[in-house]
Parts: sequence; structure tokens; C-alpha cells
Amino acid sequence: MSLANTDEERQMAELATRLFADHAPPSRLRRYRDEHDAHAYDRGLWAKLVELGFLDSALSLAERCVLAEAAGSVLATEPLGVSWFAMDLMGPGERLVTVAHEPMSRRPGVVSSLDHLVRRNVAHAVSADVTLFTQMKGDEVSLFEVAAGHEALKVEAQQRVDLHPAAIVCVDSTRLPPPVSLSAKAYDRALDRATVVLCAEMLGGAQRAFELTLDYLKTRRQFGVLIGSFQALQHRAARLFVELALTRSAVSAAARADESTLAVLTSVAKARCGETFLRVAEEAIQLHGGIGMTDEHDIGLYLKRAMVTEHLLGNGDEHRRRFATLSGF
Amino acid sequence: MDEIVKWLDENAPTELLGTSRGGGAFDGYWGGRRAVDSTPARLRWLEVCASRGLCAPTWLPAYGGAGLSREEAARFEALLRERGLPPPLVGFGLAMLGPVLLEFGTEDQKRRHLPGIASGQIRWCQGYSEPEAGSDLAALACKAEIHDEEIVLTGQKVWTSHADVCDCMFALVRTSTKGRKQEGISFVLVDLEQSGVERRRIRLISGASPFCEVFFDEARAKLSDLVGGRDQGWTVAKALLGHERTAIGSAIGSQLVSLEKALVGAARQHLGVDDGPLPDGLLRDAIARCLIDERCLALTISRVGQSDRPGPESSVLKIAGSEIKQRRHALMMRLTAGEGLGADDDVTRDWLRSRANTIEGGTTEIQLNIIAQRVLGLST
Repeated sequence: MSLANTDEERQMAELATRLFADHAPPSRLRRYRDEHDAHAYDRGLWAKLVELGFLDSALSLAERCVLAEAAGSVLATEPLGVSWFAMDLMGPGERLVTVAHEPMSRRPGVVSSLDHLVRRNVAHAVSADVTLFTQMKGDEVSLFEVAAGHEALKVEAQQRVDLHPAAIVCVDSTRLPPPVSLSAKAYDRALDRATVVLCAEMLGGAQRAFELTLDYLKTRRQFGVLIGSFQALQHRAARLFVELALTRSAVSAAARADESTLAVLTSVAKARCGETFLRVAEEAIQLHGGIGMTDEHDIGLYLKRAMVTEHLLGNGDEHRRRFATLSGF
Repeated sequence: MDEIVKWLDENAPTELLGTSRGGGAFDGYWGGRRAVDSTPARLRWLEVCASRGLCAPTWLPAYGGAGLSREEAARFEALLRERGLPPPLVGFGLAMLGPVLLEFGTEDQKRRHLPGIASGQIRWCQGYSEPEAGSDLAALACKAEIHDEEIVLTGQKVWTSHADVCDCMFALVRTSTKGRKQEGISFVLVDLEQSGVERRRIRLISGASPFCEVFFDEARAKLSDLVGGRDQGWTVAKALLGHERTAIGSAIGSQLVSLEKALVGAARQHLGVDDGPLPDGLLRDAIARCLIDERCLALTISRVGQSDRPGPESSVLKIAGSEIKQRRHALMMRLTAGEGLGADDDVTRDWLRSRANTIEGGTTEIQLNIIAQRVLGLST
């Protein structure tokens, strides 16, 4: 199951799936945690992904989504999503750039104060060469490009529940370099594209958590039979399948949206993905029983990632509100 | 296509322009000799379309169709939608029986039955369920004895939608009691206009319903109207159910625009605001949730529902479509409750009627079994 539609996309999906399976098992997240590795990604694998063209500026949004889905299925931490987001804001480049953007509750149209330049959940901020701060100014957005080590910059690694690398970042607003200006419309489009990529990653995670659970139902025996033969459990699994099918349609449509439908389809997809990923991961643990509760088993990592991604780039409540506004009610 | 556009502009009855509710496979004129929903405009629209085979655009001209490709047919349907025109003809013949006759029927059966469907002359109903064979459909017992070229039917069918206004029935009957219960079933076409057939309507909790009971007392059918071979009806029956689930799902999925208007309009009336964001955040969220789910269903239909032979994924559409519809009607009750909750209000009847959606066409539980066993490979 993949978001790929064309032969070319399918080849990309296969390549990415193989690479991540070989080099990025979910279990490495526990290792990063136990070794206090604040970077928490594999720089060798990242160099390989870049070399293979994963950051090619010619990739379509659908192609990015195909790759993100593969990454999400193993909970990969390599900075794909944030690099694409930065690329959409300031063009392609060699450096690792992270985006310290405003929370979803402050979309364009709002003027935010400079005092608010403290940002949480900034992905890969510890490793980034550049941190890009965004600031709303009505119809425009200011982008402040701050290099690592800049005297105005303070980065504090977060110990976030999903074990993906993130940090709290502050800048001293009096010592910022002069900003570059972007139209709110262009910024909103970039933010939507980043959100759709996150949705693809979430779909990959939800799909994999479901498949791991299905495997468990087909191997675990109790009362002398496979637990997957019990109708109560079969129906729960089938429910998840229905849920995933509908959410997959939303992500697939958003990945191929045109300019006029991108905003509304993004909010449809993000609202659905958050609910689906959480529900699948919660059910996955229940269906795994006791082993699903242990730190040793990977399935718990999916639940943690589901909770975090639900709240990145706008949660379900916020996206339903935006959907209503865009629909005229 | 330019020619079709011109033809449409010249022939589409002006009374029907802008009248389609966009309800998909079951929203339009049903045809048949006992038609109760005909109007002069509908009859004229049916006639001009049928004369060009456009009621069944993808069927061959020899079977009453227009021989269009899938893409061409989709473009024709889009032209109708743009003009708010209802399809010239809807029903079980076009959506369900036709596709299985094309797949399983003999050349003689196709030539005798498809043109009557495509012209709207013959309206068909579905004789599947029986009092002792609901979810366990293969337990059906309606007896069929074969004498030379004739089949003699004795037994009862139930939940037969619209049987009282139909001309013919495609029915599952028992031609053998040996072996597995699925192996003695035949799929037969029966003319309902004969002595030996009795039809009675069933009243539901909504106060009205399309459902009937049909009793056969030595009713007759032709041996040449056995589809797919003697005792081989189960395969045909399952293929038809796939078409039915897709049609039910898509009928629901294609009502997006009118649905949004209805929900938002009811909310505005309920809250007393003409425009702007709805001031009740909880209602606004509930409506957004409902419309987002409807949108996902419509997107799923266009993603998976386009094959000629719907597979087990049609169960996804059936489950999601029927449950989303129930939530929508419950929400409409919430938005209109202030008007008095009248037993005869359309909103009330629609809400009660929607409770049948998760039962008819194979219960949700049966669909979950199908997904678990045939798609996910979980064995019993």
C-alpha cells in the first residue's frame, strides 16, 4: 500500500522503503534516547538520501509524499520534511535549515509581536546550520535567517515523548539580522505543502502500526487458536482498515491538489490523519495486549509519534475550524 | 463531445435543468410499466436519451447502450451535472442486474433483457433476503423445481425494495439441497405480472418505506432465464452484491454540495445568523467533522470504486457510507429539533430511515466479516 500512482512514483516508493528498512529501524529511537544523542538521526543515511535526489527541487508534492510515507512507516527521523519546508520558503541550498514557525493558531493575517520569538518543537534545531524564524505582519511574513552559533540564538534540546529531535529556540529580537519578506499567500502555500507531507508521514506510520498488529493477530495463539480467529478482534481490525482507507484518500487527494483546492484538502487531510493515526496506534496497543505496553516493543513508539504529529502544524480542532472558515461557515 | 453538448442544449427538458439533487445511482426516474414517479418532462428526457442509448452509455448499441468508453461516459455524466440535470434513468436494472448480465449472461439473455433495462421499460427488483435468510443469505430456501423448459417457484422473499411498483425480479432460489448450501442456489429472472405472485408492503419505524414481501405460489419462470447456470447462482449473487454496495456508497458520496447547504442552512436558521462564522463552536465543529468525513468518502469512491467488478473494498464504502449518513441525519435532528420533532417531518423520516442503512444491503457486521476474512486474511 503506497501513495504512489505512477510507475516512477512506485519506483521511488520501493527505493525509499528499502533504504529505510535497511538503515532506520524504529528501535534506533530507543538507542538515541539511551545514548543522549540530541541529533537523533543517521548522518550517513541522510547524506545518502540527499545524494539520491530526495531533496531535488524538481520533486512534486506527490513525490515528496511518497517518500515521506516510506519514512513515516519506520518513524524515520532524517530531516526530510523540514528541509522541503525550508526549500519552499527560501529556495534550494546545501545547508541544513530548520523552520521556527508560528503555531497554527497564528496563520497569516495576524500580526505577531517580536516578543514572541520563542518557538517550541523546532525540528532538528540542534543540528541545523540555519534556523529560519517566521513572523506574521498582516499580508506579509518576515523570514529571519539565523546561522548556528549566532550570538542572538539560544537552542535547548527537548526531551520530547516521540524521541524525535526537537528543540526550544529563542532569539534576542534586538540583534536579529534584517529579514526577507514573503507574501502571506506564498507562506501559506508552503505551510500547507509542509502539512501535507506531514500527513503522508502520519499515514505511513498508521499503516505500518496496522500491519504490525495484523501480523500479531496472525501469529499470537491463546486458548489453543490464533487470536485473529476471534470475531471481536477481526471486527476491530476491519474497522481500522476502513478508517485507513478513508484517510488514505484524503492524503492522496491533498498530495495532488491544485492551487485552488490545496488549502481545504490540507485541512481535511490533517484533521483525518491525526484521528486515524492516534486511533490505529491506541488499538494497536490494545490488540497486542501486555507486550504492547512494554518499552521493548516498537508499537508504543507509534502511539507516541501519533500524539506528537497530531499537534504539529495544527491539530484536528484547528484544522476543522480552518475548514469551516474556508467553506464559508 | 461538442456534438453531445449541442444535442443536450437542444433536447434536455428545460423543466429539469437545475433540478438534480446529485444523489448518484438512485436519484432520478426509475421507469417501469407501473411507474408512480413519472412526469411529462421525465418521460420526454428518458425517451430522447434512450433513443441514443444514453441511459446506459457504456453498453453496446445492440443491448440498448451507446457504446461509449468509460471516460466518454464520465464526461457525459459531468455535462449533466454541470447543468443540474438528473440522469434520465436510475435503478437496480442499470446499477446491478445489467453489469452481472454483461459478465455472466448468455448472448440470448443479454439481447432479451438489457434493452428493456436501458429503455426504462422494465423496472427490476432484487429478490435476495428471506425470513430465515438475512445475514446468512446462503441459507435461502425459496424452492425452484425445473420441469422441461419451465421453473416453478414456491416460497417467500422479504425486504424486496419497491417490489410493488416493479415489473420483474432477479431472484436467488434453491435448485438443490445437496452439498454445501451455497452450491444449490440459482439466479433466475422472474416476471412479477402473473398469478402465483403476491406483493405486500412493509411499514417501517419511519412511517413509510420502499420495502415489500413477495410470496410465490407456483409462479413460473423460463429455464432460459437462469443466469450463470443451474446451481451456480452464488457466484452471480456475490458479484451483484459488489455492485449494490458500490451503488449505495456512491449514492451517498455524490450528495456533497447539497448536503453542505442543508447542514449549514439548518445551523444558520437554528442560531439565527445569516452569514459569517457560526457563533456556536461546538456545532461548527460537528458540521465540519461531518463534512470532512463525507468528503473523504467521496474521495474514496473515486479512488477505489471505479473498477468494473467491485471487490471486497466495496464493503469499505458500504460501512463508511451508511454510518456517515446516520451521523449526518442525527446531526440534522440536532439542528432542527427546535422546530418540534414532528413524526411526519422529512428530517425525522430521513433520520429514522437512515437506521436501516447499516442493515440493508448486508449488515455492517457482515461487511466487517468480509473485510477481515477476504481482505485481511484473518481466518475463522
